[in-house]
Amino acid sequence: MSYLLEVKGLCKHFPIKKGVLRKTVGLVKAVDQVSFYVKPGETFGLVGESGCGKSTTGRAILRLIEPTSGQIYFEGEDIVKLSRTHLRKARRDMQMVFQDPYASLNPRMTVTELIEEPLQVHGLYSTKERREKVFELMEIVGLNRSYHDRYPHEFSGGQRQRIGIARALALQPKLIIADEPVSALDVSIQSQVVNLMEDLQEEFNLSYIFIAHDLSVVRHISDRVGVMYLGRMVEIGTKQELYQEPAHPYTEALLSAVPIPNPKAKRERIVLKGDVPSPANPPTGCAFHPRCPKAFERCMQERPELIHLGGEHYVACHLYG
Amino acid sequence: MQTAPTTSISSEKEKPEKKQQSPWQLALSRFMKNKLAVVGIIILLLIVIFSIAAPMLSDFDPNKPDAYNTDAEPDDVHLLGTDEIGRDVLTRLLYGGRISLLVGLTSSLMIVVIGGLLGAIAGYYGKWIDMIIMRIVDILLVLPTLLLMLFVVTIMQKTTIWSLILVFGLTAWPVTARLVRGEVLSIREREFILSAKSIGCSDFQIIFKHVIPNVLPTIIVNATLLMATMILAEAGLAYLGFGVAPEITPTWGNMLHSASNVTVLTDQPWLWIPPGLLVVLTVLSINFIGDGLRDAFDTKSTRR
Repeated sequence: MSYLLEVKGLCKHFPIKKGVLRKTVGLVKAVDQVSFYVKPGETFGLVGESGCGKSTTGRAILRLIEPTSGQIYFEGEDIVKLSRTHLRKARRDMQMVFQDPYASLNPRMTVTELIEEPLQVHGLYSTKERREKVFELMEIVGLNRSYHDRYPHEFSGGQRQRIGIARALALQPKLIIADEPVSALDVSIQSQVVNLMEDLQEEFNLSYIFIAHDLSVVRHISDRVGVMYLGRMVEIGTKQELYQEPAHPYTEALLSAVPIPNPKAKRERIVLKGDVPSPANPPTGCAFHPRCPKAFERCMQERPELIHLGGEHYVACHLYG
Repeated sequence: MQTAPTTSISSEKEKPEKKQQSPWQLALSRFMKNKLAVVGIIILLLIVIFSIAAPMLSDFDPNKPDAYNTDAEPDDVHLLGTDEIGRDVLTRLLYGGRISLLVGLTSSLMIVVIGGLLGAIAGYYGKWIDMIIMRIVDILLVLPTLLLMLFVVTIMQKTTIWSLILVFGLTAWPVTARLVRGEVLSIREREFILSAKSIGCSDFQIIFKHVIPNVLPTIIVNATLLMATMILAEAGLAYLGFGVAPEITPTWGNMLHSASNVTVLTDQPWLWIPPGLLVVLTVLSINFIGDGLRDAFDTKSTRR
């Protein structure tokens, strides 16, 4: 099976600079040795606490942030090695939907200008055809045509996110990286946007990398899910594998925190002790060991690699090694 | 997610129909509500119209001496009297306005273009480019501007309007550069810049389509206030005797220069009060306009 996107050993380290001479005194390993793949037409969910590096991973794939090391194969081509001009062309196939629909749209451009921009930048179609295309895209994402000359400040959050999606769709990409696309929206609007994304996936055979911290949204939309902790991938599996038989103690704890919409159902809530350690000074061995209820000797010394558990289920935990 | 409706198409509440307003139009309507700023605009417009229409309003030649009519007090013919070589003061005031406004407008434009461009480049690219530009700014800022102007004017010997504008433009841009750089630094980190990059925009497209339109309000306000400063600078230099030579062209500044004489100061107020008043009036109204613009562009200000 060929993958649409394959990420191998992706790292992004931010230097910590101090003093007048801006000497590097340490590294924040925002993304540390992350590997995963995305198949054509599937949705890969990426979950984890704030600050675990999921957004950085998403941005590094598009090279909006230059990765420190690692390979990113998109349809067999290594994105990391591309020159700037080639990269601009490659970005046509990979687009991004941003978290904050208020901040990610230029306040001084109309809806038409915003949706038209990607087409214009890549010199596609004539001016007239572009206008047609804009109307078409507005209809696809469920925006009324008559809004075409309005400015972002005149729209609600959900509508703005639709503009953002239309912008991402304009170039007919194969992969859309959605960086918490619904977490800034009201719950009632969230479902509309998620459903829109699902409809679009079916219609255009899109692949998504869906970054979120809301586990129920990820469960709803994803085919496979990756769990990140402190810049590392701790568990990857299909939705069923991961949600029904979580292997990593961290995944278990995360899932136990999801509210069940049934007041009679009883469940053991696993409460983790302590805070997330600083990524500038991660614990030795397994990054999760200071908070792990099942940690033992080996976890403090040796960093666990991803172990194949069968099916498409992988976990980085010594309990299975 | 359980209650997801099957149709995803626009079930959000529709907004009541109203006229589309761009951020610029919104700013304009806010500006028009500021009375002081509107008064400023009206006064400034009157001054501009009178200066432009000078030849139609006065039959006198602003530079032609009249030996029979020196130091005349205001009367029916010479409404504001004449100066020590018999030139009509009112006519010189009208023509002088042209120079003051021209110097103010062109030099502030020049400052904004130089300062804005360098500031935008420094802010957007950062690193060593920023370092170099900002150190030049620092060096220029520690030199006292007035002394620097005097120095350059002295070197150039004969001062014309254009050399004056050039001097102003070349000495006053650092403040603007610093201001624009700060603004660009904050805009550069906004998410829509990242969005533009992800779409495949080049640096050039990002600077001109996304960065500059969003710094423009700051630049416009700065340019307005600079215009007032430059009119004052011209008047100041001329008062010190380093401005445009009075024989070539009258300016409000070199008319004020006559007040450096004690007899004129005490006995002939018509020679210096009118130009002084006009400088004050112009600068004041421009400053009011600038304040109005700043409030109009600042979406965070609650003052209406």
